[in-house]
Amino acid sequence: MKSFDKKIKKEFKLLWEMSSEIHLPEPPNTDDAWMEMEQLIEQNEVKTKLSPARFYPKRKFSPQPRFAYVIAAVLMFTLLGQPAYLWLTTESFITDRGEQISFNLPDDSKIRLNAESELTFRSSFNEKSRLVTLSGEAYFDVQSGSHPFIIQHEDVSIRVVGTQFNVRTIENEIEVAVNEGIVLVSNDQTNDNPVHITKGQFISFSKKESPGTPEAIGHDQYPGWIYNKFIFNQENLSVVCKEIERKFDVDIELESDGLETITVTGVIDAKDLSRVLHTLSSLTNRSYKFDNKRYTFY
Amino acid sequence: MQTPEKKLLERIKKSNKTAFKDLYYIHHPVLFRYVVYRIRDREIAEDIVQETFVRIWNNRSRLDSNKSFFSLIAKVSNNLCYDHFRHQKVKIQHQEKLPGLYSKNKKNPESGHDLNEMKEAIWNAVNDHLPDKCRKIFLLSRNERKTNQEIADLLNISKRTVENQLYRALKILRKLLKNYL
Repeated sequence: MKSFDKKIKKEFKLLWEMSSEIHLPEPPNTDDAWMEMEQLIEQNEVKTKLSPARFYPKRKFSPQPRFAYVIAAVLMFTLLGQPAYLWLTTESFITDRGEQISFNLPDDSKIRLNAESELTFRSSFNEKSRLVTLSGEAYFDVQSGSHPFIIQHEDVSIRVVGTQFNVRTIENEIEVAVNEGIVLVSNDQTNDNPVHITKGQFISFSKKESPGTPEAIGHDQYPGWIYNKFIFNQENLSVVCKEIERKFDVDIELESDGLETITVTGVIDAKDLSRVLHTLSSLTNRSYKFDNKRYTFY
Repeated sequence: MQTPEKKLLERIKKSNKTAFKDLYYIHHPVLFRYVVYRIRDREIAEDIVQETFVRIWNNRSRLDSNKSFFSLIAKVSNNLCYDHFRHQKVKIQHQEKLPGLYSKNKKNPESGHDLNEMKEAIWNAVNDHLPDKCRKIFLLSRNERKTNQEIADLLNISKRTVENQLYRALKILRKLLKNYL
């Protein structure tokens, strides 16, 4: 070792030093990269497991029901009729708090489902129509196809041809933000003409109202959750905390009155919970503590 | 004796994703630096690194736990880099864009050579003129700042070989860069 070092220093000093000073970008955060890797692996496995004609979700039933299950299914089918038929032919993806999944629909449209959300569709999807129902939040990258793609949430329907957009339904609010293409939103409760939302616009309305007029998104990394960020624009602290609870599977309480009406504006990196809470406490000028398995702002 | 890496590889062969994750965390930053040195584009390098690991996972049943894992991923990523250069012809663009090693109109010696220019020249020479094994060891040493012993462990070769290869690399570079030295 000693002799090698000496030899190098004597013969190649400049070259040896210069070659280690070449400026290179730092490697990306390994946690983020691994998350992406898990998705890549998952996508690959879904692709190899599925024949192109048929699509099996991982949650409801196994791809090859055993014989007994087939008999049971036939029995239930005859006994229960329509509801059983609906149950058996409905496929759904469900996420818990703190969980996100990505998958492809039978028409190759890509879906990314945020935490605490559910997306269901019938097994006849893409035969005569492309209809899915959603509660929660999902990012859609819809392939163009012969049938319009429709997303239903209670009475609100969102109709598209081929595009990328985010739909979020939290409590009574619905928000649709479009990154690519055109989306039509209508509410059967109010029965107005459907509203057109185009690239770079979003709309946010209550389930009982008509959708109103779209506004400009004003942020190039929207929706934030796709980029692992929280983007808040004059959002009440209580809503902000719900988002954090959903993303990190934690409980957050607001202790003193008046806290929930504090509004938060800004982009927060959602990589790490303690950093998010730290940023939030400096934005709101409040402190937080952790005990009894929950965080409390005061 | 079983090395930790060998154990991990055995578990990966049995589709153990946790073992894969462990190995990923160990090698991801190293491989990124290794690739970005060649590709010089952060995003493409990230893609190549991810694609390398996806390929490893997809072909996990064929892993050989007696061979060095880093050697394997370096080889796979090297092939992906070659593919990239072939498809994009980026290499040609780079050689046109950058103050080239071979451009005839060198600055006159009196002005002294710009250090950045020399770094570029080293960069090009490493990428274009070092044999694969030699380049791999050189980059681990100079770019990753690993000691010769660490490189030897990483690649399952003797420390003596590492030293010889580094010496060889430097001799090649010195010959190519004699205008700068």
